[in-house]
Amino acid sequence: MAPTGPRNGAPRNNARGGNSGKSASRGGISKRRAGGPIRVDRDGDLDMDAAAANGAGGRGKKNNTTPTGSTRKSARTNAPSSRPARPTTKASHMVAKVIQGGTGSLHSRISQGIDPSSRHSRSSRPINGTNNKTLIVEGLQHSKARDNEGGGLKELLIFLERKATTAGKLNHSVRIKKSQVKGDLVYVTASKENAEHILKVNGFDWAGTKVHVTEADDQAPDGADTSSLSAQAQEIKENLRTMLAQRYDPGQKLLNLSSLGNDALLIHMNMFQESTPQKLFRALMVICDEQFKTAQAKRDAISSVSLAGNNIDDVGQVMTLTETFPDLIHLDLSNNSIKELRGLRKWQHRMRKIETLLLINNPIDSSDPAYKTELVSWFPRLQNLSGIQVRTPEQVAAAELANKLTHIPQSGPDFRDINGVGEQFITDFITGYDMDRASLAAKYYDEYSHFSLAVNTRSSHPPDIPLPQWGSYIKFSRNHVKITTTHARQQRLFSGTAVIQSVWQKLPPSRHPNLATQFDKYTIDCHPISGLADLSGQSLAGVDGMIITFHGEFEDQDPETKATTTRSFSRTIILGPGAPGRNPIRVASDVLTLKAYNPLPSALGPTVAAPVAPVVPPVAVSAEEVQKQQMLAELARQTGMNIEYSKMCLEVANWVFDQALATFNEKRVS
Amino acid sequence: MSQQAALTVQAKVASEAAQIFVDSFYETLNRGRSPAQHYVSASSKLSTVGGLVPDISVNGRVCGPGAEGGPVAEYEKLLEAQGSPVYYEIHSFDAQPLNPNYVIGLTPAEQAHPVSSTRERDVAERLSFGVQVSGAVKLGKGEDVVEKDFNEAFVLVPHWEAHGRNASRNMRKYLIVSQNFRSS
Repeated sequence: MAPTGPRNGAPRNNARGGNSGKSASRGGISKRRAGGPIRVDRDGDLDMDAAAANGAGGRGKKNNTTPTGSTRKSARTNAPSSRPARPTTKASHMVAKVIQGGTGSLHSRISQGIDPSSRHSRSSRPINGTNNKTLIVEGLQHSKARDNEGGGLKELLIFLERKATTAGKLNHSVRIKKSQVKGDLVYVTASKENAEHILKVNGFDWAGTKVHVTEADDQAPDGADTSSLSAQAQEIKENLRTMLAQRYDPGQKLLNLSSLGNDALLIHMNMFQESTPQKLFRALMVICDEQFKTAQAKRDAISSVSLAGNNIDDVGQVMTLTETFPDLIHLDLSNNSIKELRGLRKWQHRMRKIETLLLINNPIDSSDPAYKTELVSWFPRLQNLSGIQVRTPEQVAAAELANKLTHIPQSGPDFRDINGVGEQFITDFITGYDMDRASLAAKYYDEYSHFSLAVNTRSSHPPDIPLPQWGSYIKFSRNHVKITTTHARQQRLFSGTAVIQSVWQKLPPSRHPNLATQFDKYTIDCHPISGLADLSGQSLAGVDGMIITFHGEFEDQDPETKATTTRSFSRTIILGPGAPGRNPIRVASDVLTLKAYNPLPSALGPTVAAPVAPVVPPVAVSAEEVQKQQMLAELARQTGMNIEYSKMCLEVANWVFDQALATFNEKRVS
Repeated sequence: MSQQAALTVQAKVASEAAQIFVDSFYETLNRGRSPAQHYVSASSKLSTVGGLVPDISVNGRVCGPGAEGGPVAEYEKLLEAQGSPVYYEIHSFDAQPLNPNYVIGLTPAEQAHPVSSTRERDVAERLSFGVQVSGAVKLGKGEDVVEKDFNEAFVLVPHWEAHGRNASRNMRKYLIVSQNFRSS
């Protein structure tokens, strides 16, 4: 199983006919999974490493050994319904594969020394996909290959694949997925694309005869066989379910899959003659999976699995375990053949919940003593490794706490104003934007000012609030994720007083919450910024200004339907000194983002104290001023607001402290 | 008319630069890599000659210039404290040109070097611009994912070294001088 290929010096070619040595080098063939019956080693352990074992098994044998009229005990006790369960498509595929030994083994297709574990994904693909095409091949009966071991089918398939590949001048190898001998005819199934190429082989000479390839009318060449297969599959599935039920300990939530090679039922079913252990294991996992409707039900039922004594040397052989039981807590892999860390590597990023991993009596213990450290680092919750405590539950809990995902916490407003410019502007702006946009634009915006808006239609919103209509805004939206052409972006950038006035007029009338009394509905950050364009042209290095980013909500009214909608917004405005002869403050840039209404996190809630040092006035202060400063500090202390907000609050309350505090509490409750 | 033409070029340069910035900045964060190369502190001209320190404000917390390693180091600590994986999903962004002749960090001789106000390459070398991003930040994966909306505003300025001759291609063409993050 390991990449080193067959073990125990098993003869590699003994299943092939006379030309086996030649075909061993063919790429198309070597891609296949190994087939053949399963070995059970001397101890009776199931040999998971039987990839290259003798491939002399066959379908005829199966028909003899698998009873069809079942008198066996049914394991349907687990099934939710008393009606005989129809096998699901997936399960019947899996079981059918187990019976048939997959696509390869039946036809003695042997891959030489190729690690089949790397092809689990391929082999789990359904064979009977709608993209397949079935062809009828004539000529086998009259060929010289008829007398070969296996009836010459293998040689015929090899020939078809090879000739189809060369005839189609293909870069990839044509691959036949399924084949079936029916009387004188051979049915082969391949993907539609490959089937077209195989058809080109029609009329080619092969083994002393001509090969005729035609399209089959029916996708399923042998209806009777298919249905009997499904009944057979059904029965095997029942048997496997019985076995699983017997091996399940509900008290310990343990599924004991140890020493499968000694399992009386499996031996009785002749499973090891019919299938590879990997396929059998996959089938078992599929059946397990079917027993549970939800992942939670699975977690509740099975927390431990034992795979002890199965001669596993690479967990790739039982890969599906971690797919079926991703939340497994205890796993016993003792008495297996794991020699090195590489044999466990495939699970490095799986089994995130594993707490107990037993690897007692595996060769790795002596061959790679350092593996334990590595395993501990792979599995964050691992505490018991082969009976040794490698972590305490406290350590696991502490590590998880340290890894706990926490968004960057809220720290209250970051309002680094200069001489009250920001505060003055924002108050003026919000009122002006609601009352008289034209005057607001005339005052603060000039020919170099920009305005644009972007609608974020994907923002989250409380479930009880319906998604808003964006009709009045979307045509102006400059969301660069959606608006990707230079021209469209250009059209949606509004520059200059007149243009901005015009677009503002087209936007629905709005009403923002009162900044002074409802400042809890805003989050306002601002700080100074340098390097802005100097409209006076005096300072080449640019001038200083301020960037304000504020978030909040507003209500608007649709001009036609008069319906009001509350929306959330984020707006970044960059302020600079006004041009000579204009308002001293100008807006250089105004970027508005609109979102579905979603209340802001309480900016006034428990804040991480980010004490904003009050700007100490350099001039002598009056007694009244001292008192105000004390009130400010006290209000800030009691409410957690910063000085700016405390000041706003106190100003609204005419510097009556109790009233300011009452206003704050009132607003906070609302 | 020439002013209109100049504005058109500025807007184009700003939009395209913002696109590149948004793509690469959030990919850096999503991969858990250090975003340090995105800040003015990565340019010696901007930081030493120009004296610029990136202003980083995260949910109201100002990453202090006094912190060891500067604001970017503190910001990275905040990012790390979130845990991983973190995924920033961009729903919307918008950009506007700011100063078409940004010169902080240039020597007086370089500042005096004449540039065309309508030639795209010249404009790209001198333009500062603002970006506002809106999206969702997802922490964790699978069932445990914790998602919050976020808004982030940036001011970016030209990375002089990246526009110079023989500049490494890996350098960002524009660097963050101001960053304001808010999550819901």
